[in-house]
Amino acid sequence: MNLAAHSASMAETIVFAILSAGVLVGGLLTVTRRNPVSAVMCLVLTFAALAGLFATLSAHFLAVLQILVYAGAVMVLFIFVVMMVNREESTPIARQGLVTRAAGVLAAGYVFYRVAWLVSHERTLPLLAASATPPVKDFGTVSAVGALLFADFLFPFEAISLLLLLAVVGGVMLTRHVREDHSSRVS
Amino acid sequence: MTIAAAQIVALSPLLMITGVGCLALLLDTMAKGRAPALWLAQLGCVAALLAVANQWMGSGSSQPIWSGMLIVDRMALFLDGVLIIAALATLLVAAPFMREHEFEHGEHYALVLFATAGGMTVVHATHLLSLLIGIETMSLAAYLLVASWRRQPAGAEGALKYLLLGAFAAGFLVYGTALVYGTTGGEMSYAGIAARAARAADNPLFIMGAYFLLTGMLFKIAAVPFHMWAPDAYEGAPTPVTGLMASGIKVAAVGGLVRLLGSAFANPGLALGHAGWVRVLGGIAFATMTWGNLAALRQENVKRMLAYSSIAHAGYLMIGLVALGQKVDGAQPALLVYLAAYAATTLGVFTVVAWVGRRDDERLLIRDWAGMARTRPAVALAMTVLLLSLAGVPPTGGFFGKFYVFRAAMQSPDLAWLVVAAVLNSLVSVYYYLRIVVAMYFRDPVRPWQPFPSVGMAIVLFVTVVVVLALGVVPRPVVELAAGGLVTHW
Repeated sequence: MNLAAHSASMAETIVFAILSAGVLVGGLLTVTRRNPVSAVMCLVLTFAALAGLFATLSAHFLAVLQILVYAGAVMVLFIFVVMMVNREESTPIARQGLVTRAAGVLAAGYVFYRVAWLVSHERTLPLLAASATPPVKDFGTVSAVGALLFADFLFPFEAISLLLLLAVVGGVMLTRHVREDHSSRVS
Repeated sequence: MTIAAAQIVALSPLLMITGVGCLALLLDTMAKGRAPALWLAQLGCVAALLAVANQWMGSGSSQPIWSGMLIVDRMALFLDGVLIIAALATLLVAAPFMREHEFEHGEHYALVLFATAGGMTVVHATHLLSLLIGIETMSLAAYLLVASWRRQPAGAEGALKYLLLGAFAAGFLVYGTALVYGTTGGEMSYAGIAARAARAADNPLFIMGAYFLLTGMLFKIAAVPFHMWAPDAYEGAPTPVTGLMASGIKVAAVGGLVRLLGSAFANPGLALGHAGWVRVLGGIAFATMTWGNLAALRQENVKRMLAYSSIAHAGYLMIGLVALGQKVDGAQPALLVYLAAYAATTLGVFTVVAWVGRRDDERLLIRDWAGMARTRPAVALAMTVLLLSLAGVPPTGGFFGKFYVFRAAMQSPDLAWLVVAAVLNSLVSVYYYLRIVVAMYFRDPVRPWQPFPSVGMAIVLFVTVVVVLALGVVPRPVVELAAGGLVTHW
């Protein structure tokens, strides 16, 4: 075997391992931290590692967007909200009963078992891997992503704007002061 | 890609609802009072209905448009009609309800329209992305509508539960989409998935993706065991919104399931094989109707009882989905008839529930309804007809809906047990529906009911009762409409 190719694929594996470890550890820490600020910081780690994974898959534009939009803008928003609201932790909504917890653990264990089994048997399965051929020349560039966004995916692209509008309207609606309390109410 | 005008015209109902929703938001900030936005929203619904009729006449194309994202076929148009009528009825009921309870705000009308637009996207979707966006638009509007009654703490609690569990369900949808995309070699359109399904059916990851998608969708129709949010959200929401959730949103989610299961996952190996969804869905259907009915028996709160009743109806509807997976002839039109009858009945029932309450006194307990027949015989009679339709007693639309679905299911010998269970369940449900009727007719009034005058509520109630009775006496026109809406196989 070609030594150079071997060491290249070796390096690829190592980079992949480091980045996915970053995603997983960051994700785990995000949901287990009690302090919201540190949870948000762990989320930054996940986003950054994810951007790295995108970059190794030759989706460079997506990697840059991931950093700009998620690790940048969205995270700043999160931190602002956490710091401004600064609420004491209230009682969790999760179900407390032993039976429901046991059922949850069992279900999660089953899914984990299935995934682990799949990964270990990956070689023998009829996985329809997208294509073993290398991606087309301009894959992942700004123009290629833009062309996809405004051609094949035009409808979802436009429909998402309604979703975002809805989120904005909802945010305003729910945080506005309740006016009716000091209107005609006498009781 | 150039966008042909025909592609835009084909989407005219959806575009109208969305556009009028945006205009209603704008108008609300500029006009004095709430009335202009309300009138605009109602006019928009009527115009969109006309656009649907226009598309129906043109019979549309049965090919997916917008690069395979959506399809405008008869089934989608039929469900569009049901969704828009549900939105119109909700607007008519919501305006007097909000006035009476003094929490009027103009966004409410726009949110109802946006939820409808999301639902219409769901029933048109032939691509996992458009399905996902439609579901999320519909759900986000629904969370907001549930939370919109700010004085009501139950509303905030219900909305938060709905939002958190709904976000979780959205995660299932996205993860399922990713798994299906990966294991079919980059397919997200239903046609593409169906083409690759035969080969992918051996791949456990693909099966897992399909089940994740199914989980996300079943959450939206509140099937057991994904129903935990429903009673709280239904109870906490302003009553007209509860009506919309039980009718429009459920109709859209079931429509989306019909399309997803009927085309993308229709492959016999996938549906009936070793880990086939037909058997799983059959079990869930049984659990859903039984659990919903048994839990409804114990409720004293009318709204909560109707929430469990709506869970039970999701179970009956899933029998139709199971029959669809068994490739039974006529399963799909039967489902559409059921959906139309169920939506009309539910809208009527929640109109009465909304009408009964007064400011600071919602009168939601069954004993509050005592003696209603003496003070308001017409409303009590209407409520009785609607409750009988929910129970499936002839000659109502609810009876024919159930009859068609069960008859379709009976054609497959494997489903006989499910139909027997459903009939027994319907018998159980008669008990709790009749509790309300008994309270209205045979108990002495404790506090006489004085409804606030409302033309809108009276119109909705009258029309729903007429529709429910018409569906029971002369079901043929609607059955023919529904039969014109077979999923086109492409």
